[in-house]
Amino acid sequence: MLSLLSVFGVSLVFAFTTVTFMTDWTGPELQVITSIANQFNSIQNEYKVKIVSVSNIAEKFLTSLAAGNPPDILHANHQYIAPLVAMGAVESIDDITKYGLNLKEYREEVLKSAEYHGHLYAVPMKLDIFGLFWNKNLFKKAGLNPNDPPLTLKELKEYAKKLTEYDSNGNIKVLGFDPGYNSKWTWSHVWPYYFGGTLINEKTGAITANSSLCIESYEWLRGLSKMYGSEKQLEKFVGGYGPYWSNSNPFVSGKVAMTFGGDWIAKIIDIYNPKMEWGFAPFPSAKGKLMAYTEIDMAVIPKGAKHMKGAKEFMAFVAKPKNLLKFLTPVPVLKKEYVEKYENAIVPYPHRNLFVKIFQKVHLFFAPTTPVWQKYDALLKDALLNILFLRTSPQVALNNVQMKMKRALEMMGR
Amino acid sequence: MTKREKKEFIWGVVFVFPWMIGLALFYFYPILTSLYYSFTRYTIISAPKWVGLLNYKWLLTDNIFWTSVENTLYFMVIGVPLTQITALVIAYMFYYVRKSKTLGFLKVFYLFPVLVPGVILAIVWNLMLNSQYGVFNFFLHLLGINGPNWLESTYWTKPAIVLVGLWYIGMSMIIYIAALNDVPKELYEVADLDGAKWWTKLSQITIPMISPAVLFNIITGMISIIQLFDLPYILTSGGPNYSSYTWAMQIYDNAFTYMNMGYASASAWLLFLITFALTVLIFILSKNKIYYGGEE
Amino acid sequence: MKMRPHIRKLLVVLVLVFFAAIFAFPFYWMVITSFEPLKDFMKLPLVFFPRHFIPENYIRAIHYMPFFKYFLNSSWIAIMSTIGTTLTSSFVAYGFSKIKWPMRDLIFMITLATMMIPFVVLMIPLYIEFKSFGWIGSFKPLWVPAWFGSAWSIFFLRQFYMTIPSELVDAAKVDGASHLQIWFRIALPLTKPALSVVALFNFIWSWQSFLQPLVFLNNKDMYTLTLGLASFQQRHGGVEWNLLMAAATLATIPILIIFVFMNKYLIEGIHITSGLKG
Repeated sequence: MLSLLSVFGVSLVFAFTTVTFMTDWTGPELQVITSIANQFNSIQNEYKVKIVSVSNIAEKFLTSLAAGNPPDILHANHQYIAPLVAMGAVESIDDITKYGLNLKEYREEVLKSAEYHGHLYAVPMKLDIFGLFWNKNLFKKAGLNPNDPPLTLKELKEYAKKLTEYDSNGNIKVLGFDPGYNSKWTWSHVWPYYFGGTLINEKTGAITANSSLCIESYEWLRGLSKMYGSEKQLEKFVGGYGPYWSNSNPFVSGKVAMTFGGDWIAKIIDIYNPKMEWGFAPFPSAKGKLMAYTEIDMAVIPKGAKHMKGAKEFMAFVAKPKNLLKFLTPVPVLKKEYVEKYENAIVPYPHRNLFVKIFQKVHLFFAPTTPVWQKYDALLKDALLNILFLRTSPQVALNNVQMKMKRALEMMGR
Repeated sequence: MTKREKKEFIWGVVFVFPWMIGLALFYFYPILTSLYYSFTRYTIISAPKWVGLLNYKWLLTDNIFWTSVENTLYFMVIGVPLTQITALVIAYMFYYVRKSKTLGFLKVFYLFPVLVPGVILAIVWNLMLNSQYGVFNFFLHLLGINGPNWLESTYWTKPAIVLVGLWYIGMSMIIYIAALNDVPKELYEVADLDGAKWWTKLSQITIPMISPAVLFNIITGMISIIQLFDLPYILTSGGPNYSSYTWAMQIYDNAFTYMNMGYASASAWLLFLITFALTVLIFILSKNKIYYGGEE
Repeated sequence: MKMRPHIRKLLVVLVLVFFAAIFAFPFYWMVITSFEPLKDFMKLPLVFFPRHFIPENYIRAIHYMPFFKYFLNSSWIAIMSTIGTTLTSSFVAYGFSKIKWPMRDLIFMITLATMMIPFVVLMIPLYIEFKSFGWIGSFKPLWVPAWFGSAWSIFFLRQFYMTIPSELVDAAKVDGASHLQIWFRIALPLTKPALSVVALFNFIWSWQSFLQPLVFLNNKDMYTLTLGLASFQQRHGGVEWNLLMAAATLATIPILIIFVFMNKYLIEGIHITSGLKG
C-alpha cells in the first residue's frame, strides 16, 4: 500500500506541464518576474513556469515560431501587438477572465491598449511614463523659477532659448531642450499627439503621417533647431554626447537643461549624479490637456503555443494586483483604488511619489496601433532626425514617410 | 579518362568527401530554402505564399535598398584596398624586424581588438569617436586639426566606419606575415648577387611569392565587407539618414524587424549573386598573376 | 629611400610600437573600467587609470551570471568545433590543391559560395533542420557542422598547400606513395604553422560567436559567455558597466592563453617552404 502511494506521489510530482515565458528582461527586472513565477510554481502542481531570458528577442522568437515551438507566453511591448495580430502570430485571450483575471482593475487606457479589433490580446504588466525632465540648477542659473516647469509649448521654447548657452567660439555649450537628437534615444512618434494630432486614423487604420497637425508638430521641433543654430553646430554638440547610461549622459552631466524621456531617467540620475536637482512634469500639449506618452510591457500568447491553458493561468496570476505592484516601476498599470487597496505589496521605488502624483492627473497615450508599426517607426525616426538636424522640411519628410508607408502596406498585400 | 586520371578523380573525391557531406547536410537545405523564400511572401507564422519575382521587383524600386547597396559598395571599394594595403605594410614591417623576438611579440597586440566583445563595442567606439572627448579628435586636436563629428554627420559616418574597420586587420596581417616568411631566402640571395634594387626585389620576388595569400585576403576580405553588419549596426544604427546603412542591415531589418523574410531573402540572394560574380571576376583577372610554387 | 639602415629600422620600430599601443587601447580601457565603481563610468575628464580601484567587481561579475558554467559551455563548443574544423579542413583542402580532377574548380567555387550568403536568412531553415535532427536542446548545432569542414579554412589551407613545390609531391609519387601518405607525411607537417592559424582563428570566432548560440540554444544552462555578457544589458534598467567589463575581461583569458601558446608560431613567423631548402 505504502509503495503504491509513493509511486502515485512520485508520478504526481512529475506530472506538471512546463510553461515557457520568453522575455528580454535581465537583471533586477528578470528577478521580479522569476520570483512571481516561483511563487506560482509553489502554490500549485499542474504547471511549472520557466522564464527564458534572451537578449535578442525578435530573432529568437521568430525562429522558434517558424520551427513550430514558440514560447507559451511572449513578453511584448504594446506596439508589437498589432503587427503580431496582423501576422496571425498571437492568440486572442478574451476568455482569460475565466482564469480569475479582473479586467476592471486596469486603468482604462491601459486596458484599451491591450485590445485590438475588439479582442483582448495581451495582459499588461508594467508601464513606463514619459515626460519632461528639467535641471533645476540650470533653471536657477538662467533666472527661471526652478520649481515651475513650462506649462505650454510656447513657454517651453522660450525657456529653451534662455537655457541655451554658447561658448566663445559660438559652439553650443548647453542645450535648452533636447527632444531626441540622439537616434538611439528618440521617440519620433509622440510629437503629433502632443499637438492634438494622430499618426493613424484610429477607425480606418489609415496612415496619416502628413496630416497638418503632424507637420505642425515637426515644424515646431524644427523651429527649436533653427533657434539653436546650424546643422553643423548641432552635429558638433550631439556628437559630444556620451553613452546614455553613464556620467556622460547629456542631461545628467548638465549639457542639456530639459529633455524628454521615460521615468528611468531618474535612475540614471541616481546612479551617476545623485546630487543633481531635477524635476519631472508632463510634457506640455498644444490643447492644454495633460497627457503623457506611455509604453507598456505586456504578455501575449503566440499562436502554436502548446500550453495555452497553463499560459493563461500564469498570466492571470501575474495580473493579480499584489504581483503587478512588484514590478520595478514608479507607476503601476492599475486603477488608483486597486493601488491603494494593495499598498503594502508595493515595492519601494525611488521618487515614486513624484511620478504617481503626475500619473493621477494625466491622460495616457501610446504608440499608434498599426500592423506596420516597425516600418512606420523607422521611417518616422529617420524623418524626425533629418528635420531636427535641419536637413529637410517637415512637409517633404512627412510626405516621403506617407509615400513609403503606402508602399509598405502594398507590399504586405493590403 | 585515362587510368591515371580516373585514379586522381577518385582520390580527389575521397579527400573532399567529408565537406561534400557537410555541404549536403548543412548548406543545401538552408540555401535552397532561402532561395525559395525569396520568391514568396513569408511572414513566418503562415506558410510561404508564392509571389514569383515580386520581391525582386520591389527591391529594384526600393530606394533604401539602393542606398544600402551604394554604401556597401563604398565600403568595398575603399575598405578592401585600404585594409589590405595597411595589413600588408604592417606585415612587411614585422618581416623587416623579424630577427628581434621582442618586437615580434608586438604582433599579438594587433590581434587585441578581437578580444573586445560586441556588447562593449558601442561604448569603446564612442570613447574613440566622440566629437568632444573622443581619443581620435584629441589626437587631431594636438595636430591642430578640428576633428569632425564622426558619427553624427552624414558625411563622416562611412569614413568613421572604415577607420574602425582598420582595427581589425590583425588577422589579415598574420596571414601576410606567414606568406612573407614563406618566401625562400635563396631567391633574395640570388637577386642580391645580381645587384637587384629594393624595388625590383619587391615586385619580382616578394609580391609574386605572396600572391596566393593576397588573393585569399582580398577575396575573404571582400566577402566579409560586403556583408558588413556589426560595426554600422553598433556604431550608427545605419544612420544618420541611412548614410551608413549597409546591405546586410537592410536584409536583417526586413527579416527580423519588419518580419518580411521573403523580401529579405530576395535581397540576400542578390547580394550572393554579386559576391559570386565579383569572386569569379577576381579569379579570372588574377589567373596569370598568382604564383603557386607548386603549380598543380 | 635613401636612409641609413638604422634610422629606417628605428622608424619601423616606432611605427609598430605606436600602432600596437593604439590597437591595444580599447582592450586596455576595458580592463581599467572593470576596476572602477559604476558611478565613475565615463566620467569626464577621461583618465587612463582607475580613480578608485575596486577589484570586487570581478567577484560580483562572476555571481551576476553563471560565469563558470557559461565558460565551460563556450570552451566545449570552441574546442570541439576548432578541432573538427582544423582536422577536416586540412584533409579536404588537400583534395582541392594537390590532386587534379575534373569539376574540382567548380566545386571549389561552390565551396566559396557558401560564405557568400548572410547567415540571417539561413538561420530559420537551419533551425528547422536542426530541430528535425533532434539537436535543438544540445550543443550539437554549434560544433558538429564544423567537423565537416568550413569554407574559410578550406580556402586558406588550399592556398598554402598550393605553395608546396610540386617536385616534392612528384618525387613521393615516384616512390609509390599514395595521396593519403603524401598528405599525412609531407603536406600536413609542412603546413603545421598554417594549421595553427586556422585553429586560432576558428577558436576566436567560435568563442566570440553570438547569433548562433542565441538562436540554437534554448536552455539557459547551456548559454555561452557571449550570451551571458549580453545579459548585463537591461533595456530600461541601466547597465552595470564595471561588472560587464570585468566579465568581458575574464572572458578573454582563454584567447590570451592561446595567444601565448601560439606564441611560437605567431611571433616567430610561419614558414612552409623556406624550411626545406635549408
